[in-house]
Amino acid sequence: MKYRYQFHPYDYVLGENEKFYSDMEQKGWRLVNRGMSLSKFAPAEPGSARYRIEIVAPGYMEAGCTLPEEQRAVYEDCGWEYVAGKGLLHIFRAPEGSDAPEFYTDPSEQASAVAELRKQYMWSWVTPLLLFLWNLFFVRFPLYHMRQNLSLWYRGLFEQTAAVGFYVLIFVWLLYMSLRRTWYLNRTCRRLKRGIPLDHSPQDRHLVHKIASGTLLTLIGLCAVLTASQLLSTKSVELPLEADGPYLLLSELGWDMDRTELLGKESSLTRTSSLLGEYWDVMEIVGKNMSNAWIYQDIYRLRSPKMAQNMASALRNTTTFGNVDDCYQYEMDYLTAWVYNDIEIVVLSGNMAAKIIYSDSMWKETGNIEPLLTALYERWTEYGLA
Amino acid sequence: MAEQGPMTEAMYYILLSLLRPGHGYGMMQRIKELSHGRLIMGPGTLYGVLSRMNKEGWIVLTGEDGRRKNYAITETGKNALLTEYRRLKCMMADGKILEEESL
Repeated sequence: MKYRYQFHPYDYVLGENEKFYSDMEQKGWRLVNRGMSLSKFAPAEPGSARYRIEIVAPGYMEAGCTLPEEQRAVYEDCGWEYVAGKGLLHIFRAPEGSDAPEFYTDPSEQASAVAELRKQYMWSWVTPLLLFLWNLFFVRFPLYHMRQNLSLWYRGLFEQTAAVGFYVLIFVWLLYMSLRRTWYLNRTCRRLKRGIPLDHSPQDRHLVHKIASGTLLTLIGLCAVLTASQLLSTKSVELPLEADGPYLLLSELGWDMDRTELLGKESSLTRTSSLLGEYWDVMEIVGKNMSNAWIYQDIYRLRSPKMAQNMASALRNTTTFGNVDDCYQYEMDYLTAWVYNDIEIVVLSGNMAAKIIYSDSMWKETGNIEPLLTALYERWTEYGLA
Repeated sequence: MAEQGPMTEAMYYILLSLLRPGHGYGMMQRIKELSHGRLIMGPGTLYGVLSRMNKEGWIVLTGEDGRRKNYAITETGKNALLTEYRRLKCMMADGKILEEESL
């Protein structure tokens, strides 16, 4: 037999589910089983049939999520045919012409069943919110380093704009859906308690919800496509012998040695374009005999100087070799640098910002910070400094 | 139940039907008969009320016949039913004024 599978409405919209199954039967597809998101249908003679859903919530019928045999027997004695059950929902069918009575002749009784369903979902919005906050504040550092964690997010926003957008939107969507479900079940309960029976064949409504949910899903899809395209366009290549971007090579800083490996790492260049800017991740290692030198650069070319300032703050909050204020500031014309422990430097100029970790001393008295900054500034002017 | 409030129509008729012990579907038939066809109780309504009254001790499970369970009213249930009956009777008596006014 050829079965058909189709997505069914969410669990909490009971009337919509009942109408959905009746409509399918009209089209010649009879419900066989209900899964998490999909329902299974078998071909049948098109006809009208009533479908009704009973809720079995733990604590309500005192038998977990299984429909008690006794209850099922009463419903079947009344002319209802048990079709399928999944989770809290159990579906019955009454064929055309059957005089099976409605489940609830007193709507306030159904309110008790719906209230149990609401109880199951009452705090469901807390989970996505907690997960989101956990990810926001526990990215790498413990909770009390909130500034560092937020700075990592800020950097991520520029390095992987679409991916961060996708991630945030997924949580927003989950949160929205949970809150909407709670609101909807509250509303259904209130109406039933007031004696208004459940609408078993609701007309197409929920326009605001459809617009909100559709917009969020469209944005999620868009971000997914952009993330994929960003991943495909990100190229990690061998570092060229001549710089082709706003970064420095060790040869320009006076190191006349061949490229080599260090602790399993090789010289590499990764360039990423995101919606808010471009990012170069550069690692270079040179060596001869037993001596070597290395430089690691994170370079950002952003859409505006304001963004670059924020990025410099984020880079300063996430330094590897010192706390944010544990540095000395170095000022040159059109360029500011913060040096950490003689080895790490954050640089800001116009719309560009960078973090550089360099094996050579950058100590202001004895180090080579000025030649490095001068060379960097000149390179930036070649590559889009604004 | 510490203090008994007014019963719903479903509660009243279920207790009334259980003056003669029976199972779910039998109760529905009996309720239809007692109300002279006026009240056709849905199985969901019946089952929800039965479940609550069982917890309250107004009814008690007396036996099982296959998938069907038989219930009977308890003394507490009878007292509650009588209290409700008296309340309704008082209301009926008070409402007589309507007949006098229409005369």
